[in-house]
Amino acid sequence: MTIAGAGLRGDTFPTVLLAAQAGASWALSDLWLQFAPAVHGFLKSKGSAEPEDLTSDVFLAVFDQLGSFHGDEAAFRSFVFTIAYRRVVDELRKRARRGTTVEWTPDTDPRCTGSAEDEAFDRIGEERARALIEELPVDQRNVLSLRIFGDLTIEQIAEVVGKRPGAVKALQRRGLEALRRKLEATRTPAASSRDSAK
Amino acid sequence: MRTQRITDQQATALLRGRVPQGRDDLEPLSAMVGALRLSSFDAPPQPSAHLAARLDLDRLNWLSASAPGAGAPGCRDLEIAPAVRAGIRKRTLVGWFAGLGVAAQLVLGAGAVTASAAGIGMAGALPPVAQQLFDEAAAAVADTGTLLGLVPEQAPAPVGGTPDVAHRDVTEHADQSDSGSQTVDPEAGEDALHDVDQTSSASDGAGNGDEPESAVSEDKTTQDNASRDKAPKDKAPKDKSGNADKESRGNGKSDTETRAGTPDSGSAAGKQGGGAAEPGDAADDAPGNGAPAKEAADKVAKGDGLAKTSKKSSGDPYP
Repeated sequence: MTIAGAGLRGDTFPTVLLAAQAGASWALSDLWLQFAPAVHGFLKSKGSAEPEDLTSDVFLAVFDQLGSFHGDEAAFRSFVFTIAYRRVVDELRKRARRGTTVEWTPDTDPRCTGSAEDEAFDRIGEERARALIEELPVDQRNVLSLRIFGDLTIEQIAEVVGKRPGAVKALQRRGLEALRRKLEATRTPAASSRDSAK
Repeated sequence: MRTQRITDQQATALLRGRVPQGRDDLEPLSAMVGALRLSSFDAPPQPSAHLAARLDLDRLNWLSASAPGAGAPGCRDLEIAPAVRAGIRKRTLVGWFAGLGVAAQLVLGAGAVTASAAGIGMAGALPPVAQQLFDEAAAAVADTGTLLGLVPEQAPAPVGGTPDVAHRDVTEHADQSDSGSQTVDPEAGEDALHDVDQTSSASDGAGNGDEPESAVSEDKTTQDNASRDKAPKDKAPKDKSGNADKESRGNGKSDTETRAGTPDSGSAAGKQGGGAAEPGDAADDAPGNGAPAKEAADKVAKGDGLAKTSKKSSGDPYP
């Protein structure tokens, strides 16, 4: 299943991949357009400081290693996210060693309260969902991010993170349960309430 | 209450942004996952310079613009909250504007400012000074258009309502001088009073041409009014003051005869005579032709009959 971007479908993927392996810029553009948004979302959810730059780095690495790749679209997706996962883990390690300085902006300052409109927009918005995921333990966050953004299977994720499929499945279930509890704890009137229904 | 456990199938549905069947309690969770997946269907980020050198940017732009999200079944399956959709539209619009060049942004901004200012000016809602400038500019543009033949002779009046006011002032003061009353129209202002005074003095000297100075200054004033009155005069007969206006047209004799028979016109129109109103007619006969109108007005002020001047000035269209 294709996730994002325009134009690429399952039947055209082999043609595009062959052209990309031959170095055709149009094919590389198609691959970028199809997979870059998901990789960008995944990197953001993992807490990358510069997700746009890192996405470009990931695709430079992907294009450099295209010659050695064999497989279908699902395998290519797993290939791309494996590189993305390793790159973001590297970045997080470097940041942990060096420490980070973050430029102050009103949007990221928790002391600044947003307008009512912003809060309404963010109620189930992307940023709030991202914040909830970031509160999860790292293993659960990795699995859920790869499932949500990468649309990878349990087996593919097990390959990427180096765990057994059963462990990945358990991490996925625990992560979803934790998210549900967090959502219930911060339930807003817009969310459906089972208590009030009863 | 004991919460139900999430099964593998339900987890798969949830992670695709769907609510599992019979598990409405998981709706907030599926909405949250859907909001996250939405970013996977967003536009790709800006590639770095190194990467852009390897991409076909024209194709990239074309594909991004033509079919964002096309060929993505998950995108069609996903129910997007209206607020999220509005946010995406806002981001897209802002991104589009930010992506424009500086020159294009300046042109767009200047165009928007000009259009809004013109709209407000047309509505007459500008501050007084700005509105006056706008009216003058609009009148000048209309006059220029008439001179160049771009605007037909019977074009609608210039925007702003000034001609109507000026026309009404002249006729009202004619009525006032007719009745001999000393009351002053509070709306008329000093200019209009000045017009009336000059009108009476010019009319006094209209027949003999003894007062060239006052007559010439009056001519300038009435000529200005006449050039503003072009369009409204076409509708003038329907106005309350139409009689005086009608009667002030034409040559001296017929004017006098008509005035005598019209109760509304009275002596004021008689006093006004050919001198005051006729320059306006001369200008009216030659719309937009400033120099002949002035000549005609000067001749009238010096005592020449209107019959001559109107023939001279308006000779071409109506021989």
